[in-house]
Amino acid sequence: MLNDTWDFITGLSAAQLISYFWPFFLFDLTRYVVFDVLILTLYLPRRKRNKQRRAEARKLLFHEKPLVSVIVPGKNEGKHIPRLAESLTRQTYKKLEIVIVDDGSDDDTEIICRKLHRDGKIDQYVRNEVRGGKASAANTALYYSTGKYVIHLDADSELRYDSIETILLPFYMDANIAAVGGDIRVANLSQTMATRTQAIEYFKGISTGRTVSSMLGILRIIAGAYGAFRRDTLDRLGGWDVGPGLDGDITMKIRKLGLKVVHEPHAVCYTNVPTSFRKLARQRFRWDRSMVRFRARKHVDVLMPTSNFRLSNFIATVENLFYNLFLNFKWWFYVAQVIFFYGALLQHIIVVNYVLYTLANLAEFLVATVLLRKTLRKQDLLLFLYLPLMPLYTGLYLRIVRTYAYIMEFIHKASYADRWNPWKVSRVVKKDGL
Amino acid sequence: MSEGVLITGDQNPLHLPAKKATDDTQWRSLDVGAEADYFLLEVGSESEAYRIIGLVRQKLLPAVYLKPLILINRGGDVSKSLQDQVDFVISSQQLEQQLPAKLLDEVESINRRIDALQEQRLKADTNIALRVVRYLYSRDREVEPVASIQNRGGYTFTGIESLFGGHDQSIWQTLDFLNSQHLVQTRFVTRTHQCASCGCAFLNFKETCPQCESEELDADDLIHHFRCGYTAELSDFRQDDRLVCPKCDQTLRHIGVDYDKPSMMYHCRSCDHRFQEPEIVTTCFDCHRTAPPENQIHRNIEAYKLSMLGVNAALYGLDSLFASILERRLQLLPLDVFERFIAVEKARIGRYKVSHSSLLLLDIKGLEEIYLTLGERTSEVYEELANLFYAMLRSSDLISSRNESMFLMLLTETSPDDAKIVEGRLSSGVGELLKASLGASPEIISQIVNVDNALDLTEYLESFLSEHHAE
Repeated sequence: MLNDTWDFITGLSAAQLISYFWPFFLFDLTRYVVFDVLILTLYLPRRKRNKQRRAEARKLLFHEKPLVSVIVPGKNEGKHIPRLAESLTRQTYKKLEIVIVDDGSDDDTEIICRKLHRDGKIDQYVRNEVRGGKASAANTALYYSTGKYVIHLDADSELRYDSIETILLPFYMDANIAAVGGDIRVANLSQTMATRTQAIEYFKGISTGRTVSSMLGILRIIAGAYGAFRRDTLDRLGGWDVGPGLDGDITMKIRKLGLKVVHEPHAVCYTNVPTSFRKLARQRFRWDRSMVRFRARKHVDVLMPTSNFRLSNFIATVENLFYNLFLNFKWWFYVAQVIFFYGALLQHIIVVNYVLYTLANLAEFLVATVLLRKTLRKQDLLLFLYLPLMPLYTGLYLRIVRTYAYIMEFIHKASYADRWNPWKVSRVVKKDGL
Repeated sequence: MSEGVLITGDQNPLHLPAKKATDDTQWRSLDVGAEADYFLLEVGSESEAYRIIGLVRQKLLPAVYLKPLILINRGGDVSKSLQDQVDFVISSQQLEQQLPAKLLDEVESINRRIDALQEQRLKADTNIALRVVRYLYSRDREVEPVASIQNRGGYTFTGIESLFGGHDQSIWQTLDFLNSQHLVQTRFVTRTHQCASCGCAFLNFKETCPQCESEELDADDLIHHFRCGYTAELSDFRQDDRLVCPKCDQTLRHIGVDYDKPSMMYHCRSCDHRFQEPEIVTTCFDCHRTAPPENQIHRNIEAYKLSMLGVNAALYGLDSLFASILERRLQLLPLDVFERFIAVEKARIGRYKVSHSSLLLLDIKGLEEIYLTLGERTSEVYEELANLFYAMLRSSDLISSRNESMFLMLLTETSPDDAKIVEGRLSSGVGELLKASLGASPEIISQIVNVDNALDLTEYLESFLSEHHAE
């Protein structure tokens, strides 16, 4: 059979190659491999050239030594806080203020955090008896924090020793930068197959993908798990709006102010990801719906030629909508096309696609390795063994979840019913169409 | 037909010619009315009433200080505290007709109990504990704590307050003593915080800054505006008399609908610290000592009622510590109950004529003075004595006491000869124990009486007492 497939490939003309595998060659290869490689060949030398500027920024940072507030909003996260507080004491940048906001926890969080507060391990612990959702908890933390910079951190994450210093440097290199995204890596990558595939996905999507977007000035998300913001900007915006997807939302709002947002691939944050495909599906269902809710609804105005129009914002949204939304539905069209028109060649087309996408993944992985080489660990590198699984993961699993999420959000506005927010909040924002 | 003595105050005496009347002056000088059935109180003011009630309740003869008190209400409300201090309140109209039968029944029931004290009712009582015990016995009810700002302990026992000359601390001490002697039973009512240094229940509970201990705090609610997720303190939302969100400029309408208050934050004006859990401290209004609540006294406030041992004490004088230990260890019976058992035993033996039971009387002279010699170690010696009694008696035997040092034992199915063995062992055991502790053997008198139809316990005890306690 493989011989047949080989014959099939070698017998293909260029036109046939495109018509059978157009999604790969026209979109995925160009956007995710060719584009990434091109941009990074520009980025890496530039980063090297910027070494001197970075050193100066570092000098400025340590000369000014601004207070940096690390805010950690969450519900029932108490068990993670002692480790997090401990890891923050090992940071190279020391002038930190740790503010924990407990969003109506019903476990031992209060006992744990009150003790940490008494012992001076955290600077502020605010307990909200009634859950208000992530945005209100983050805003409470913002209200009670006093630092010049605000770092939003998930409770179950851990930072590399130099991470805070690294994430602050861009602020000292460009006064227009208002927010810096940290590089999220998977902490529990060796746990299950689901965590391994996510780890690879994070390398591609976050480390490489966001570095490239950042280079192009079209970065559209600063991860909620680890992002640094200028306080004056957050104050101007009144903090976070109601989610889910509040991290993408606030990034867009900062962009709309005409300020820059960048990604810092060397500011590493390890976070725990869902350990089963079932849990992962739930998480992605939430994330994907918020894409529709925020890009296609709330911030659709960036596509309009208003006085506030900015090309970079336009491109950021169009690129997002095109590659995620449009191409996602395109993929089903391609599946239908293959089945109805090339039914006889089905098995060859599947095998070839599988090989092409595996190779693309390998290329993307190599790019990430080059980009992140300094901060990679041995177990990160061993992930290349799992690359052949990625076409199934991104091509099938994530696509199905995403399609379902988009449809549910477009038709039912399902994100408003998400239990991630309390109903009292969802009810109001749905009524007001926010 | 019962007859009362009318006591009038200084003002506006009611003239009730049918009654024997006495005025204040006479009343002070004489123990009049010992034989009356009740005292009628006819006074112009509450303070006058308290004064006269105090005079009555602080008389020395049980027949006088225990007498039922009936207050004549000439109109207006009678305070709860005053009602608690007298036995009955009646209107002047009721008095002009005839006292209600129910009231007279109750008066009679109190008097029956006073009469049960027999000749002791006319002997002066100086011991405040005994006076309380006798008062509780005569009223046959529980004395309940009443919250009061007049009393520094925060509670008083209005029912027995008039027995004390206004020294409220001594009420607590006396009740504690009675409780320690098992003369009263308690029922939990409530709990108070009292100052650990002076016992005052008036404590100022204050929130203070955990950082600088300042009391100058502001507290503000945190507001969460659902629509935009903005969260800040209430003062940030205030605009004139409305609440307006600083982020989205919307007016907040209804709590729970478009906003809520997830928590509260304290702000220290002195050191600027913000916190949610202030330190609580208490300061005594009296001695001004400040301490955290957990370092103050948490006291149970209880209602008191006589125990069986207390009833015995009321009838026969305050029992010694020994008796209370014995009661606990051996289930010492009240004398009247013991008498009932003797009567049953007499009837049983008289009917079946097959068995013998014996009454063993043990009189340990001077036992009540042991405390003077041994001080705090007395209770240990008493425990040992109780163990000795416990070892000698069988579970079918019964024990009671006539006073602090005289013990009565019913040895069932025991002939006087067998009882002699018990008597010998008990006497020598008690003698040796007390000799070892006191250095000298006390005088021990013991007697054995066969339980039969000829035995009349009351008569027997009286003749024993007149023979051995003639002085």
